[in-house]
Amino acid sequence: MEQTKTVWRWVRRVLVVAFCAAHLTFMVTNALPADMRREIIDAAANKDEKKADSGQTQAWETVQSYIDISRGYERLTSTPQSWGMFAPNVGDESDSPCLVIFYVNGVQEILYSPCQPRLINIEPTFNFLLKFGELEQRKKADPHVMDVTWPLHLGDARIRKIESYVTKMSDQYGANGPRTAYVRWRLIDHLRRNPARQGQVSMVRLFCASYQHAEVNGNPGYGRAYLERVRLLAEYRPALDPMWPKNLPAEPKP
Amino acid sequence: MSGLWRMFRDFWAKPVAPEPMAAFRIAIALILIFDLCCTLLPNLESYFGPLGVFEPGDARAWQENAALNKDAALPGIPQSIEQIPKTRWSFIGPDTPMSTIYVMAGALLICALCLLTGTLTRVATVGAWLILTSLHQRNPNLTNAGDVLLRISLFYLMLMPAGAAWSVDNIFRRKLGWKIRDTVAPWSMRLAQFQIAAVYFFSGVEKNAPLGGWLQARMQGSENPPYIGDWNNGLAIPWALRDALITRVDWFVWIPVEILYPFTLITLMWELTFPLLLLFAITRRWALAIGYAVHMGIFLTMEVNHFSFTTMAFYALFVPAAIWMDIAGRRTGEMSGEIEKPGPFADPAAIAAAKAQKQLGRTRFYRVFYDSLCPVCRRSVLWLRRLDWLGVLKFEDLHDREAAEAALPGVSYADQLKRLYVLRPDGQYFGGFAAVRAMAAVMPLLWPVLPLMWLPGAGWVGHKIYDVIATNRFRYAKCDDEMCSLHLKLVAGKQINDEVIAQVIALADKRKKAAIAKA
Repeated sequence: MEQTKTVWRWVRRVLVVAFCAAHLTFMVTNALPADMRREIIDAAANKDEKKADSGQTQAWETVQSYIDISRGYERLTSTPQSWGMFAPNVGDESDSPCLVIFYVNGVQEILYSPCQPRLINIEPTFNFLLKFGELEQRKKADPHVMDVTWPLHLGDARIRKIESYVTKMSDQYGANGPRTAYVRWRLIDHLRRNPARQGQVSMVRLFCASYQHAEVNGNPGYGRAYLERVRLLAEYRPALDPMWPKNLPAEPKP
Repeated sequence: MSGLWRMFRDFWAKPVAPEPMAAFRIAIALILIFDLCCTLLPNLESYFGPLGVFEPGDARAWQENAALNKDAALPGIPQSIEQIPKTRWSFIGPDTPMSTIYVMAGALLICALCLLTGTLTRVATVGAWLILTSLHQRNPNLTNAGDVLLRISLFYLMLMPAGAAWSVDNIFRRKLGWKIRDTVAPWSMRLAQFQIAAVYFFSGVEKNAPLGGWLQARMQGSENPPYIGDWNNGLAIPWALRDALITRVDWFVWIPVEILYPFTLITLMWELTFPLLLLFAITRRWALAIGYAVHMGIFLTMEVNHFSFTTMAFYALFVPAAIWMDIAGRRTGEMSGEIEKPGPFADPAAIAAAKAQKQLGRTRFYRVFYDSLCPVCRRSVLWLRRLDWLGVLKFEDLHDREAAEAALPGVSYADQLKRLYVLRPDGQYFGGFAAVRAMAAVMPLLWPVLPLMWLPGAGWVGHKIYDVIATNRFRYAKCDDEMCSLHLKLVAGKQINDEVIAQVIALADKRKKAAIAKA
């Protein structure tokens, strides 16, 4: 009995030591910056090239297998180790999605992001679309600026995150799905809050407004973020969306 | 070599008190409950519903391929979706109905409450980890670094004996007559400590990345080196505070950029040296105090959800077990190890007192020695009593010289007259600002400022301020009797010599006799 206990104690110790060593090794491997990992793989590949004549070309495969295993462990334990918060640069620009709703009577309505601070010096008749297509047009005296001076701003950090994804995502992997979902969500919310506008929507366009933070001699400036440029991200028509709720009329009946 | 090996072995295998792990568990449970109740549950339809921002095809891509995997562009890594292995698992698939999501969210709340109270701790932690991971994978676009860290902390909690203290589990164990563990294996706690060190270090490495290219170009004599990076030129914090979508308040916008430069560089240096600073007790306090200041700054100025608090929850694992035990009083951890193996500063009288308290089953007190003849000190004690919510401070008159000298060996009567002294239950004693800092650890109202008291240089500044106030206390005092004013005049002198001490003793004796006569 005592012998079994001793054996079990040793087995447990070995398991714990193996787990701790593997976990720490994988943690460090996965936390390495991508560039550093690329250098390691390149170094292994170079080593293989040098040894190609002698038939020893295993370094690259070994490194590759190890990285695959460490990635697999990360996926299994759901412990991703990417810690590049605000790195390598913070950036001097903010991207914010804007919806422009086109109504059948010709009226246009802009829905700014719920995470975006209020805009100042915007006249009610300001045509947001005039900015569309213009690049690098900011002037220092441009009145269309975002006021970044406010006593307290409490927004939804998760929605900000998804908006960041919606505006920055590449189109490589069928990017329009999340954008459609975002536009649909905003439009449904807007129409439910404004029943009079139900059945009046003609089309919706999703724009990305980029705001450059004010700068003074290349350094961050004070209190203003300038509307830098506007990009069209997606067009949306509720009638063509199979997911649109049947009980919420958006477009006029034919 | 054997010394190093022993240190290594002790670090990984020497049993430790379970209180820091329990504190970590409670902190994570509170964050989870707050996150669930304030952000996830009210927005469940918006976040995960078919008419919300959730997009099934995108979620499927996340789960089935490495579309957003940072390694996708590396040489040798498969480039097409078909070649890339599955990346993420989830019990809630892209096509799972909303009703199931509601049930899972409810179950997660129950698990979080169990985690908070330490009820079926291990099962609750496993449940919370499975459900939270599944929920996050349902719509990964919503998650940020704080969410990832929360998930990771649950992973470590699964490995930890986090229910071995401050738990309902312990109450049941006691009722069933099972053994209550005073100490537990430390390896899981060590892994979590390594994790937080890795978070900071690799974050610093990523931030510092442009410096290598810049240095290389400069060494090669290039006239147009690449950009040195926002963090190395000190602009990162000014830019971040001006990000209209992230920043929470506008006060910092008006602070000149030059003033914020040092904060950027200090943050970068602190992140890069964090693992090193953890190695020694004094630098560890600095590392954690700076971390607290940085994260509170982030929380107050930027919208990054619960990231700051989740990160700081890991700090609980670095706080000495003695502090957690003091907070818990006699309800847990009897410090038997420390009583049997006292530290180098431990006082035999304090050890005896601690043993006596243990036998009596009483709360372990912080003995506060104050000058009862000084009205300012008496008023301070009044305030301390109000702040002593845990009831662990025991106030004693330093003019009871026999008890004071026995409790504070090496501290002269003159020193005791100059400043307040505190004797901690572990036998260590502190005077002046250090005494205030020691007491702050067991006064909940002072917890928000306690880490700031450990910032580098805070001790020096604190002692200076304390001494100025203590030396000049007679200026603020309003004496209502002759004895008090005489006492203040005596101790307000620049030097408290034997003559003054004799007069103070005489005064104290006189007051004692008067009190006896009155009684």
